[in-house]
Amino acid sequence: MTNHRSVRELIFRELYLLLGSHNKDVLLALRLLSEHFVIENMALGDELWHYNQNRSTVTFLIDGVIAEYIKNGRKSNLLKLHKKKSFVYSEDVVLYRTPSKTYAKCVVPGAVAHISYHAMQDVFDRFGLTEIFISQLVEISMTEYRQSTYELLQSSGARRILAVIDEHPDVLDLVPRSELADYLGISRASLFRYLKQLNLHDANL
Amino acid sequence: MQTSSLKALKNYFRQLPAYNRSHDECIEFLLVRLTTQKQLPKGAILDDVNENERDFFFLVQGYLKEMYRNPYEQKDELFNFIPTGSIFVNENSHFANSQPPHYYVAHSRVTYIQIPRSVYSEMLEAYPRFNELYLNATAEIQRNRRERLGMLRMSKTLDRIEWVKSHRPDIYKELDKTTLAQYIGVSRASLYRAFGNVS
Repeated sequence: MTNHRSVRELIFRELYLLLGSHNKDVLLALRLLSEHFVIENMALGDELWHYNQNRSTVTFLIDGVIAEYIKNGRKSNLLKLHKKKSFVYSEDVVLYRTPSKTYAKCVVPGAVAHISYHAMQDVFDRFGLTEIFISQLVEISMTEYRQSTYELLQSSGARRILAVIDEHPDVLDLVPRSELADYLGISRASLFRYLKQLNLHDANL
Repeated sequence: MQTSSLKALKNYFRQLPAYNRSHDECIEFLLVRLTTQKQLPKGAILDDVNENERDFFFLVQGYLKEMYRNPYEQKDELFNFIPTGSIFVNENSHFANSQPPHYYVAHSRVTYIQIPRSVYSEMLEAYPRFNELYLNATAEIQRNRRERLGMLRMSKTLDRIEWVKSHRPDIYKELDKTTLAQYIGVSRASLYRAFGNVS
């Protein structure tokens, strides 16, 4: 059962940290904005947004894991794994105002809180915060891409696993093996082999 | 500063999808304030693209290797390959995770322009709408990175090579085998095996 009050407090804090403004009016606006997030449970396979979608929603991931895929012709590749206590959104729609080239769905059930980006933007525009907000999202996103690139530049599967664990120590507990193999760009069989080699294999998983 | 270099930078902004004629004034504002252009021979390290500066740079001519220290291999390896006509920055001064340090090496003879942060800020203050172009340029860089990540997650070396050939032919023709192996995240042995299988 999700405690709505503590979730909204968490959203308020995350927005505050992101924008870094101490202005009283801005803080009040962020408080009001956090009250407008709609809290819902998220089941396995639930989609947050579809490929080619134009509608922009910003989701705060309370619990669970969301996988974001990018279309590559007929195939899809796992692009990102979003973990709890982060804002999840389509970069194409929110940052660049183009239809989404990705889609996102739940791979570990949990709960989310979401809001229309337009509602968010209305508040940010009123306080001249939109540019700061977008710049912060761009920086976070670039940092994530940079980190993923480090992980995937490792030429051996074992080193890729170690690089991912260095960055996300709880990844083996949170992410299903099939998704992790896809994320690392290796087969499931190879993943199990490497985990065994690294003494990270758990028979229960 | 050579006129042709400024023209190349102007063209860079003009080919961005968000560009329209109303941006010309701010582009001109920027161009007339740029004074530093450098040329370096193949193999030189770009010392002025350091992590203490938040300046932007534009590669007028040549190719750059963006290098980093691979903590698992304990050696310097390729992080990215920068083609002619690109904006680049020292990522350590721009992004939150500043480790490991990055630096740039000229893959061929290079010419680049420095866009000081102070000039950029001055322009943004005078022309806030330039931010549209900034975001658009960032979107292009991000799109390229996102696509490359898709390639790096392909499980077959040959598929990765084919991806570079078809998606980044401008880069593929410049890459020697060692650099190509690092660009696609495989060992040299895997790369040679893949090429062996093709022949």
